[in-house]
Amino acid sequence: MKTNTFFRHGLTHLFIIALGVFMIYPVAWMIISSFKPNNMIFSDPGLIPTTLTIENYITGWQGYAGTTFGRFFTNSLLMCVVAIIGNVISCSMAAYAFSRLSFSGRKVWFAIMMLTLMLPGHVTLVPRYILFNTFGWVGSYLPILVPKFLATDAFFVFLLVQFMRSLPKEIEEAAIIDGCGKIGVYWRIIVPLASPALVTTALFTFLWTWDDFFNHLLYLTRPDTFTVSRALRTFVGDAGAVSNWGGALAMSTLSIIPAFILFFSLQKYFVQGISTTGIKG
Amino acid sequence: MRKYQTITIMTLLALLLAAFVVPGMAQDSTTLPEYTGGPAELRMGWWGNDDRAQRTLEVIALFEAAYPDITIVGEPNGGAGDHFQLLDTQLAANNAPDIIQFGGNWPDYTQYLEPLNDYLGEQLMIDTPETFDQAAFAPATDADGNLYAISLGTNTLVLAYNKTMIEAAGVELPEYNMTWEEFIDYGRTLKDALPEGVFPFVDNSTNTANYMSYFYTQQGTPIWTLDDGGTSYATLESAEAWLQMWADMREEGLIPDADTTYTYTEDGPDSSALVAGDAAVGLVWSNQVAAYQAAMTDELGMTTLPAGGDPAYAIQMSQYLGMNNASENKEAAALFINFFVTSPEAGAILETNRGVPSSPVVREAISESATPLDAEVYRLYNAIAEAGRVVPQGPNLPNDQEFVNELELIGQQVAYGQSTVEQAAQDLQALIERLAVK
Repeated sequence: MKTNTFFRHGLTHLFIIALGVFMIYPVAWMIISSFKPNNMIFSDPGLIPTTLTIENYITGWQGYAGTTFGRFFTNSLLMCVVAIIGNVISCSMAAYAFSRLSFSGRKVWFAIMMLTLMLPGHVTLVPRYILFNTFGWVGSYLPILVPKFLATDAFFVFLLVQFMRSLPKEIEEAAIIDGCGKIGVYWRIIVPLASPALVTTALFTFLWTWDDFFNHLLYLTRPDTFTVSRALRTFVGDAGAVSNWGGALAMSTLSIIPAFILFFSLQKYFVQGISTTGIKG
Repeated sequence: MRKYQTITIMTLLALLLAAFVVPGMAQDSTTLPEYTGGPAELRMGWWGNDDRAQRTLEVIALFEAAYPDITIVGEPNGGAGDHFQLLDTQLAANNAPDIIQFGGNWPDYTQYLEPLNDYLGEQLMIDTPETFDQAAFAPATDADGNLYAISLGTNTLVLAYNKTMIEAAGVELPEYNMTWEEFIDYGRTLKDALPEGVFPFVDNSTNTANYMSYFYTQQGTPIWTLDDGGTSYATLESAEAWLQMWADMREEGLIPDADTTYTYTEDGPDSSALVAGDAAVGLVWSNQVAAYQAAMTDELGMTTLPAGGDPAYAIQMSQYLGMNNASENKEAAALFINFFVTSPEAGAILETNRGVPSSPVVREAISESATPLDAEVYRLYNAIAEAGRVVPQGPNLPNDQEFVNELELIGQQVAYGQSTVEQAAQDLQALIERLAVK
């Protein structure tokens, strides 16, 4: 009986480890290949390199069209910070309104918000571009950042609504008795209690903004405004030009580091946020 | 048809010879056409890696120095896919760049493009053979007779071979203008000399339509021509001959087995049996050879496609510049295109990044600074021209992408023994007939 359980657990672990190795292989290959000379990446594609070099990191860092990766990383980080601030403030306020305040047409507005979640992004692509173009915003960060301050990420609104609905009403009632207004309740009660969900929001906003490519492609046209994701794609040129694969892999390796650090340092909150809202990422 | 073809071939030959043998007429920047408008700001969109972006931005700076009233904002994109996704959105929103880089897909965009005929001789000083290969206009002219794009350079298919590997095996390097029989014999020699597990040739039977199309033209049965508004002369015999030849080579071990072949997508140096060292000779576009070379430690050389039958070697236009018909300053845009393709100073910066330039003046200017691989491309151009193998670039079969995809499947079925050569040839012929009328 005991050996049977041991055997079963062993088998499960073996399976999970094998799956893990299978999934980490591309990442490991990328990291190792980023230290190989450019002419050996595809002619000697094994995991154990015969020659090591950091040349790729030096050539890769030089960036695109005279702008270095230092600038691209700064652009990306600044954009992510502003996006996080925007999303955390606007989505939590919208969520508070939907979950606790009663106003006319609440259900209709909520349904409309959920509809935007189900609308494929491609449908609104061209209309949005035309809209931002008439504002004269194309070429700046505004088309990407301004919507974040208007709670347009319905996923986070929904996530926070679900979380806030699960908070005990009695605490709020106590606060109201103690003289808190609606803003007081939001700021003193809801925000501190919803912190796990807010961390989840912040983390996902970071990952999605950091990883987003298509919006960056559409709206950032000058190389000095490029973000990391936009800049990484410039390594893969077309048939006519020699592509610096080593540089691409080296910069890709660097680009996963921020996401990596954030994810692992906030993993505790993140799992809490997901598991208590009943939404699976 | 025949007569017309001969004339075109002769013209093209003369041009090519003139291009490489006789030095072009000298031109200096003082002969640039004058700009009559006021201050203008234009945008230029292109795709390409950092190297190309740097070169293009340098040329923009040079242009701005020559025309102080005009400012050009460069909007580079990495890959062609990104470029066209962005362009489609921009065109839909009427916010596309004034000057746009295209590939062979420019006919999809004619509704947004400015016909350039009226600019010839005014801003575009490319209307004489001394300034520009006149043959480069035909592939950029639509059925309506309008010239919609200006060629940025040419490339052609070559057989790249692993020089280091072949020399190590003690075999002579392949010669120019071998016939198919000589080529296959050469493969047998290689097969005996190469180490176990390394094959003489990459299986290029169906990974691109161009090689097969070349073979069909040699057989006198071109897959697609513009005769009578579009006619296919493809026959079942050509299909069988092509598939049978590769099946025989697979049988003999001259190309890798199916499993090895389909480990690679063969669409670039990152997934190629040639780069990985599984095969010694493979089909590559001439302007891509440098990228293949950069991805491997062994040295590459290049030779011509096998000869035989009718002349079929097409020099292709690799990329074009087109002008957005919504541009607010078309005169300035035309001047920029002119500068980009005719200025020797610009050419010295751009080199062969977008293919071999179509302006004899520019070619002359860059011939001294040519890299060894570039020099080899020039030699190869001359070799096929001297052998009388060059034909004008023909049109692709309509629905080209579908053709390429289906062709690959047919090739896989033969390679894995799922269908016989006869069956596959019938499928192929049916496919061509279906796409030709679609």
